[in-house]
Amino acid sequence: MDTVKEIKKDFFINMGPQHPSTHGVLRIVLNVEGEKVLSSETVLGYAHRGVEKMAESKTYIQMMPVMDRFDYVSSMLFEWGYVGALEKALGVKVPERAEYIRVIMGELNRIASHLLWVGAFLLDLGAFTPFLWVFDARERIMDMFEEVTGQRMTNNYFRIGGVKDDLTPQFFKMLQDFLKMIRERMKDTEDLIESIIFLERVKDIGFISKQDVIDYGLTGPVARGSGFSYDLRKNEPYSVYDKIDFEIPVGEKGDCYDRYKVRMKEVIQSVRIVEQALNLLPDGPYTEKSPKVVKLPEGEYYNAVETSRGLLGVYIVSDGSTKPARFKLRDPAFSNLSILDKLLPGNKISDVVAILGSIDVVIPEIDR
Amino acid sequence: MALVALVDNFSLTKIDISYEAKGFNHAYLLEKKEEIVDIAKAFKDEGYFLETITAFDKGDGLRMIYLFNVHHKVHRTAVYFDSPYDAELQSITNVFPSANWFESEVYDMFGVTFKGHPDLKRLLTPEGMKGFPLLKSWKPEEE
Amino acid sequence: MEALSGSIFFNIILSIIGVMVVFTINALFAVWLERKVSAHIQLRLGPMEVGFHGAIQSAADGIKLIGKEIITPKGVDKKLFPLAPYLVFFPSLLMFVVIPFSDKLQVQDLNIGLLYFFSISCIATIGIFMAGWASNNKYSLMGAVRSIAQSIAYEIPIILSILGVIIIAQSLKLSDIVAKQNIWYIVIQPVAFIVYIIAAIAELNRTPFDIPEAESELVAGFHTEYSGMRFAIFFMAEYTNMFLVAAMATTLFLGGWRGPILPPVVWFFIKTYAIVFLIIWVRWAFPRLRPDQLMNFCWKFLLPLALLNLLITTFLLKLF
Repeated sequence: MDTVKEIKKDFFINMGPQHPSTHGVLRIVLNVEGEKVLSSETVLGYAHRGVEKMAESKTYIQMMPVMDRFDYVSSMLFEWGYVGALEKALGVKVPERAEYIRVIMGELNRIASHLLWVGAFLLDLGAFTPFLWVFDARERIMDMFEEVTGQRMTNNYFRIGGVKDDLTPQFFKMLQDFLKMIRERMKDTEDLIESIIFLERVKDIGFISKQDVIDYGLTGPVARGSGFSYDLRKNEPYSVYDKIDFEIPVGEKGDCYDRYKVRMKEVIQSVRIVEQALNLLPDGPYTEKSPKVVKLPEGEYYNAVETSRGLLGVYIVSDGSTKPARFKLRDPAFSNLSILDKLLPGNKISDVVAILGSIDVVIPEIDR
Repeated sequence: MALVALVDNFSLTKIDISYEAKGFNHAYLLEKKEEIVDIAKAFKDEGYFLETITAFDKGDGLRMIYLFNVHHKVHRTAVYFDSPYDAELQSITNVFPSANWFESEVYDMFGVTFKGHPDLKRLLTPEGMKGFPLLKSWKPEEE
Repeated sequence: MEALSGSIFFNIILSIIGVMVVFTINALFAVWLERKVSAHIQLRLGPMEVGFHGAIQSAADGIKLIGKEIITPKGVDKKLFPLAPYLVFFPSLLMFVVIPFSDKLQVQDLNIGLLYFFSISCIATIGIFMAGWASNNKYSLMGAVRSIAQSIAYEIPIILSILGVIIIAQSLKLSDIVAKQNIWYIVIQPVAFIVYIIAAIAELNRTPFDIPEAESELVAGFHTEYSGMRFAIFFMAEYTNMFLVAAMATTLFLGGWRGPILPPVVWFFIKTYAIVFLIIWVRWAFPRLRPDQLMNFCWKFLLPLALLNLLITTFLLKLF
């Protein structure tokens, strides 16, 4: 009578697509046994809009606002990648004032993205207060964007040959106020965040080795947290970054804490860059006259910039007409997310949230 | 194997491009598509990483593009080869695990399969999707 | 209300009214206090519209919750699902019986007051598990299981920490303990106070120990499937327990209702709400612990600390 049935102790939990911690519509299917994760599978595609196909039936000018909609927390950095590719193709030289304006706006975008990341990361771990403190700082950045570009997010500010509008005196005043308060705010937030509870949650979790960085093609703070000093602003300088003095913070061990620390330090470095760019800002035109009809000569063009998540590559194949024959985005979060299925097994469910948070994903950028 | 010897050891022809205009430092056209695995191994031995794999529909076939990059110098290298539609190509997932998702995306969008890929599936398009969207011949279904 | 009137029946009615008044005022005030304190910590203002600085906000929210539709999901246990909130809530009301609000205001000064208090508080644990099980939901069940492990584990440091006080006061009767505090016991037993407060926050399932309710991981834990008035009952139980834990801390460590000039009741409430403020402050300053870290912290840190405190207390008492 004794029929011993093997009791399966593991079961499947579905995180998402609607979930407070997955930063967008991402689905992770976890196979857990008790509290331990045995395997995981990332399911993408919930925010897929078919932009690459859509680009083939739109002109280059019409694609410009669409570039904002990929990484909406730091949209101008994506615009920069796209506009850079078009300028390479058309051979347009950007005036110096425009370059410095681009640097200022780009770095403000990077600060805004990292601030949002810190708030969301801590919110996932259960601390509600840092979220509001950093969002207060981010609000001031949004106000500055609204002053210059007319919109808080998805600004559509960059143009072929420069930017859409010059910076206003009110903008400079707001920027000075912001620069005065941001260092202190970051210091206060760091002091609040780094309690023993936080350190226990993020230290020695989610190790990414240097070999993983090469194998999986990781870039951005995820790679720099593991000791890989790779930042396109220093390794492959574009625009006027070679004239500005700044450092690239790197981590040592490659755990979640190192990635957090790298991003916090990057905010301070970006503040340094903005201050220097402000001092070096020359007078002059803020844009070249951009052509009314944009026709790229036949060929292929590729432009890479450093966004807040890593290396963005914009690849355009042109057949000589006003519409691209192929438009491909090599986005950083796509490669960064691919390491998740390797990192999760062996960790506990609560660590899934910490690890996913430390990789910093924005789903529309991945799904395109 | 040093990268300098690439052209000698494989069926590659160097394409003349300028970095300023194109964005690549070097570009090569590959004759025999099976050699891509060994070429990827050669790059990996030198410490290169795979930046992306993508494809583009020329009208009479596909052109595959593999981008390799290294972090300690400015040396983005592109390897092209032509492939017919519905081809079965070699997967380089054993060499670079990042190719897993890149190749899945190319399969999803263009319909080429990769031999030796651990888990080839549609990555971005919804379940039950028919056809391969980025081909020029694909038309959206009428409602 | 022993000294107020001779008739037992009259005493009972008066006690019930008294407890309901305190409970209602606490529910309204503590929720408002939490929202205001959290808001100011987070650089915001909190409720400002309803009443002066949002004073009647809690009443407005209560009225809204009463009017909400009570949704019972399909597949729940028909008898246990509606019963669970009440099983979590009623022990809190029963615990009011032994709290000494002043030297004359105490419903019933039991000889085993402390023992009664902590025993009744364990009944709520059954209610939590009942809620998680009856909800027929994987996530609720996981939340309930975590919550029970946490509750049972942290009971032990709580009891051990107050054993020191019991030994010094030589009584389980709460009015005796207050009467003997010429020097507040927090001075003599500081370690016990800290252990008690930490373990009490864990018993309340509040951050940093709020894994059972962790929104960002398991939606809302054991009370995911409850809506409307039933959810309000869970909510009120949490705030009432917060008050009771603080009241016990005041009685055992801060000298209860003793204090100069002001009437004893006022001192009692001032001290109790100071502890409530501390508990609220801790919630908004820290992230949450992982479940295994939570258990490790209890067994490997708090428990040995409480035992050490007990050992040193008895040793010193024997010496002097």
